Amino acid sequence: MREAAFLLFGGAMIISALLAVTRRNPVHAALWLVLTMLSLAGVYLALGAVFLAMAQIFVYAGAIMVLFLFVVMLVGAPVEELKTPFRKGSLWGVVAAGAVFVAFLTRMPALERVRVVVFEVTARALASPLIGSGGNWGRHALAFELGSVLVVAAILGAILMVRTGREEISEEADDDR
Amino acid sequence: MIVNAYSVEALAAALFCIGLAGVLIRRNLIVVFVSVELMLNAVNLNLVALTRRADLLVPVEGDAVALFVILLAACEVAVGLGILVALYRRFGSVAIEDVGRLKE
Repeated sequence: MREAAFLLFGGAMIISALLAVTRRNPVHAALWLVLTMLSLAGVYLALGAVFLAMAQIFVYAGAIMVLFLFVVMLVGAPVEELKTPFRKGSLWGVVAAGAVFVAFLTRMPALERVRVVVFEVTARALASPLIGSGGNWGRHALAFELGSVLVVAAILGAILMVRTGREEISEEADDDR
Repeated sequence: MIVNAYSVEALAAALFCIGLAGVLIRRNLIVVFVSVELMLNAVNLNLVALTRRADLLVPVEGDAVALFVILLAACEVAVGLGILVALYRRFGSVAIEDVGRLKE
């Protein structure tokens, strides 16, 4: 059952990832990335990482993809770029990536003997290292709290970058008048 | 059992190399960013597999670190897409040849 789910979602993930990097239109690339993220959540479920699968769907397929689609709609792609979406000599890029893949595979055959023990990691199991349990701090409690500070900093940084751009544009519009 | 450590890590390696190829061959910065996300997710899949390897015995550590990676990816996307919008306003394009002013 888990093997079948692993193979099904893994295959779907590879196919949609290939489509995501080869589609001409950035909107299509972003939409295929959504399917890649959902399939990866399925792979997590098959391996028993239930909380991580939910986080993957909420954060990646939800929040991050909305941001991507918003920016694609805002920026768009000119027609001449849609005709030539790849760089010159992109064949060498494919060759390099393929060489890295072969290098990975040739270094890993010892892993074939290593079993994967599937067990479920729920939110409760993750809470004890991240937040703490029984009145004790978790091992990563400080990093976890600093993470929230980082998110706030990232949001403020993003707003600041986009906002200053808009003021420059309105100043240019004032100059034109 | 089909699912051993090799099959999971081979899947992660395939996803990583598809992302790497995307970074190397695409012209549009948005699609390059999409490919970087693929590479980040490949690393996450590796961490999830690492938690469950029979020879390592680290019960939930990999999953906890993977959750941190998802958190950092969310921050990275917010800042990266902010930079992308700023670049588009400055240069009027998001093709990589048009934003290489630092090289000149």
